[in-house]
Amino acid sequence: MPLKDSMEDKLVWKKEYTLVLVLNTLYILIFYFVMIAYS
Amino acid sequence: MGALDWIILGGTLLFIVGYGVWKTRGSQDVDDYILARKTSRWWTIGLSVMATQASAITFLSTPGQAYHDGMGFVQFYFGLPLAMIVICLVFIPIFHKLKVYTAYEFLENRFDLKTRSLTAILFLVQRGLAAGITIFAPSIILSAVLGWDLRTLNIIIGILVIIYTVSGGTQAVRVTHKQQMFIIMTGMFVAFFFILGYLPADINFGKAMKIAGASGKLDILDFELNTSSRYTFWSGITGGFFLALAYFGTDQSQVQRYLGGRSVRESQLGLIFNGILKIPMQFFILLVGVMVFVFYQYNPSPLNFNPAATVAVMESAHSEDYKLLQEKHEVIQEEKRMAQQNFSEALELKEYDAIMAAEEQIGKIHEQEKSNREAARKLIAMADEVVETNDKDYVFIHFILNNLPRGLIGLLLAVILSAAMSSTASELNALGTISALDLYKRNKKGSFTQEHYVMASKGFTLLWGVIAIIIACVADLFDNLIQLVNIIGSIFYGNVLGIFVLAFFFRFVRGNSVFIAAIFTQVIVIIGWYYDWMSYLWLNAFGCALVMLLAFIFEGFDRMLKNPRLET
Repeated sequence: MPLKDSMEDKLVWKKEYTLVLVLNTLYILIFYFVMIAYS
Repeated sequence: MGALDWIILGGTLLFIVGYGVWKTRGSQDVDDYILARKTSRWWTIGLSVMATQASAITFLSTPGQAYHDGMGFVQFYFGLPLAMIVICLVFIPIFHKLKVYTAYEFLENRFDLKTRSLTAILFLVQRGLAAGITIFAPSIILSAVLGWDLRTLNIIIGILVIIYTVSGGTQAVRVTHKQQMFIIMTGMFVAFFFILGYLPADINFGKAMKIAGASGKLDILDFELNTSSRYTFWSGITGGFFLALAYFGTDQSQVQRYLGGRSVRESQLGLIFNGILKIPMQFFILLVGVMVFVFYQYNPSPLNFNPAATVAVMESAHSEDYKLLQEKHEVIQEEKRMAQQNFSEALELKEYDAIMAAEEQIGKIHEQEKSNREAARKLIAMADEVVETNDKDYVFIHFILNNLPRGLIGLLLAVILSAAMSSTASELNALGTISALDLYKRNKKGSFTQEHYVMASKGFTLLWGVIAIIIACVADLFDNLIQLVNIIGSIFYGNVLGIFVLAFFFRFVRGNSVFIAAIFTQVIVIIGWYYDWMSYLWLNAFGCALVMLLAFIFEGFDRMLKNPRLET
């Protein structure tokens, strides 16, 4: 079977990816707070 | 540098090299040498990925970038966590499923041999150049400030890396990365707390942040929609995303780090580790630069941080003019110190009007200082066309050498050289692997033993090490070093990323269309960069979109020619 037909269709979302998104959003909010608080 | 610094510096570097060689001694097959027998745990992968990306340039240039332009550079990394998620979702499961040794091996499975060879060659060109710059960047700076011979330094760094990378392959790169990251982070934390300790007694961390903020150094986020601005929230999220996706997903120096994971999950967690820690790490390094800025509000700084530039102008016909600028600079520094004192007192008393007045005064003084430094740069350029006038890369090393105590100077130099070695080792390891497997093994007729291919990998790694040293010895300084590496990456990465996106998501596109589209795209991107069509960060997205568009067009034409519509 050619590779292009055997490639997985389903992408499996894991909770760690949500953690990455949440933490990095938090970082940006902290940066915004730092910018406002010290400028 | 004192004897203690030499002992710490020499001891650290020799320990890393010795440990790398000793830990990976014994016979090895291809699995062992290229993928470290797929035994890496997630924290090892995460540290190795971070150590590969964090070159000496990161620790020399980034604090200087914050000193001059503030912390906005952190936005460059905003797309990285998103890229980590996409790689975990799409790239890693397929690479593991196919049990590939290199990222480009996958392209032969999906398209054909010529597409694999083309991307392998694009990688060798850009990574080979980057490896030279990774060695050259710290060498030029350290040679300028310490008076060491540039070529000797290039050769020493190159040889140290070659010894353990050739000897132990991926396994040696992996084990030494852990030591190097430990040294790097320890050194940076110690330096940070020393800088805080050197500030005047009444300036605590909060006040130091206020001082930095009043000078615009904490303008971290810029939401302006301007494609010519280098670092904005939008360019970081989009351009940074494409650059990170291409770098971590298709650059063998990174792919090889997580292909060695003991399972798909370990590889994914390794990249998640990077996705969580990268932005705080860069923020911290920039914060070190901002604290160096605050330190120089109360302590004298040179008019230009590059000592070679000062020597060049003082030995020229412009020396008298430069002395006048230096005198003006001293006056400005004294005014600045007084203005900061007023600002600090106003903060203490919480007098709003006084705070605003002091801020305004500081702003004016900074403008004067900026124009005075610019005038100095122009004089230096007139005195010597070759010497680097942009002193961003020299700020942090100047601070280290002139202010930190004995012993710590050696540790910080070990940080810089460790970082140079960690990225160079990954680069040479990947260059050797691609040359041996994607080009040599795949194109050489006949069947050979495992030992033969290990020897070939070692030979190619050594060869690329020598080439990197030669490039480092003939390279010239270019604006800001960290940008040079990113510019070289951006020219090639978009195209390669587009090829991988086509491979993963567009099953109807075939090898011939992709191959021709990739060649056209590379030529157009180089022309676009040469004529400055856009900020270099956008070249990634441009190259990626262009190769996909051209591949669709060529595929459409190909299908039309082979299956012409019947007239009815």
